[in-house]
Amino acid sequence: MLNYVWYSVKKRKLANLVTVGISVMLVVLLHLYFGSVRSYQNQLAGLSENVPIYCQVSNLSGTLVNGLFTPKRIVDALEQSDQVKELSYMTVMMAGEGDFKEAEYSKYLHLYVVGANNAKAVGELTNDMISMEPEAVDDFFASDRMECIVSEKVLKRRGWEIGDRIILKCYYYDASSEFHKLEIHPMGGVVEVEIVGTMEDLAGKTNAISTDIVIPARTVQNIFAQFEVPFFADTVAFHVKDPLNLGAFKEEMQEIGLMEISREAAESYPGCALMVRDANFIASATDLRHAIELMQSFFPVVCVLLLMIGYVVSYLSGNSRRDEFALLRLQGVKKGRASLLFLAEQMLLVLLGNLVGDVAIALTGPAVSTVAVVNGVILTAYLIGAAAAYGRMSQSSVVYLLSTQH
Amino acid sequence: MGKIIEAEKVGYIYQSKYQKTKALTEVSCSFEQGRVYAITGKSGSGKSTFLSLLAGLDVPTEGTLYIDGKDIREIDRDSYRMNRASVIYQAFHLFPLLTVLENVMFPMQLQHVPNKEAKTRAQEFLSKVGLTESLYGKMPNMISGGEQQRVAIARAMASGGQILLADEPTGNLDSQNEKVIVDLLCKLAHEENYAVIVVTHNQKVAEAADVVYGMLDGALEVVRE
Repeated sequence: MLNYVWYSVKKRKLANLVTVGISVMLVVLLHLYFGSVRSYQNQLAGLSENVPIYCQVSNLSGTLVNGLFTPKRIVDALEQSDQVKELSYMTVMMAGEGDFKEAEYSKYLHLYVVGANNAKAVGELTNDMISMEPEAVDDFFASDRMECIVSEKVLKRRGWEIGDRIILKCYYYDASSEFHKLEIHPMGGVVEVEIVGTMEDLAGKTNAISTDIVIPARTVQNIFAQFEVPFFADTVAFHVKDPLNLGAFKEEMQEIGLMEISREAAESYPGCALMVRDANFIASATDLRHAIELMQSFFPVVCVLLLMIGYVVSYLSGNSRRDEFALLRLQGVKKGRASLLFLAEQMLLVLLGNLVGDVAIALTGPAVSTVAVVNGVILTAYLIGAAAAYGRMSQSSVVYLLSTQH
Repeated sequence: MGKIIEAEKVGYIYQSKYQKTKALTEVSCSFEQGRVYAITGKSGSGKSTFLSLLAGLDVPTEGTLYIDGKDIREIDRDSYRMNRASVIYQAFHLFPLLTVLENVMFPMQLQHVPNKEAKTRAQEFLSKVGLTESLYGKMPNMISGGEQQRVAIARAMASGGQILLADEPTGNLDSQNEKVIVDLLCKLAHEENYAVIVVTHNQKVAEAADVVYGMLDGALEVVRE
């Protein structure tokens, strides 16, 4: 019987080519369909990377995101939160070199000192602007060592060198009762920090803060604690870790104490509200979800179409071979075996078509799971369609089939 | 010689959605090996229906048809056609995708005869029906009607059964080929011990038969014995 399948495959070239061609076409079309669905799903999954949701702590009215007084409690909670990633915060202080008298602060207080937990927190500073190895930069910002990075210009002007230990008398800002008026208070002593690197001058860059000295954020927190001054962050910003779960994020932010912005609120300095820049993300995610739902809603239609194609192709193929079927039956081949023979031949051609289609589509690098689903769906559709078509043919009597031979 | 097929009050009714048509009425007869039987009658008399029953393509709705003493309803009729009885038709009914040789090899391949042996035996059968080697590789549509019918007879011989049923085997042939086929059928019966049953309305075929039955409106009667 296998001989007969071989003869048939070999000799019915045109008909078989059409069957293989249809199968190839179905594979390509299904790959396009599943590929589109998968592409949308991947885009949705990668949306948090490509369209990240950026958040900034602001005052209640939402008018300020820098120069705020965000309490340590909020900074600590954000650092520990599972919903937050890439947290950046900084604290701004003024300092003078040496242990000068407080009455002479205007003469000495010229150094702009920033405590930051990463380079990005300091305006437009980047790791490659710092004269240290990238790993050493990360280590510096994560540490609580009494170390600092100094602007190249300041280093030169003051005659400092890397490795020098400098004495700084720090002053911190405090909000007065009147908005737009800031007070500055001495910490109450001096600190000694070692210069471990230099950084390019940020002056002149857009949004850059003219910074003379950068100290790790934890070190600054320790300095505040050492002089029993409540720590605050001037600027706090971060990204949402799981933007697709924005509800849970917002709930946690409320628990932390970050309120929604109220445009009617009075101008103030406390960092107690959260500015969530999620409009682009929500628009993109909504569009993608709609696209995925639309594509997926077509899946039953696609399956029905495949079943119909499988049935029609098999039926037409079978119909043109009714005489062969009758002859096989006449030779004593059982109904089921004759149907199975045609079915096996049909599936062999469909498999061949699938293989050709898969090879053609392999250039686009489809996922293995997509290839499996595409082949599975087509084979199943053909199997059901062909089984129905040949099953129907096998119900006809041999005499009838022979009498209506082409 | 024993009876190889025996019909006992066989009747057959075609039943469609709208009507019933009685095609055979109480047909009783028997067939032996080594003889040529002709069943004659007008179109629609029921002779092809009777041949279909003899071929096991259907079963009687009334009466009993015995094959080698067994009720045809109780035997494996596919196996019967594969190993015991072969049918040839006016339209030849060769496999269009197989060559002359492959057509004759086919019944042996169904019986799992090794390919090499099947080929040798197929060549012998083709030679017996008078076909030359130059035709073996040709497709059925490339040879004449007479040659196609001879291939059909060779294929019937290849199945190894001793019953040959023929439905108007000379209907599509000229008189020269008609004679060749009739002689071949007689030779099979008389020299190879086949039971040859021919349904025909051709008088010359009937004249060559050992026994002639006539069929009229589904009833069978002996014309010559």
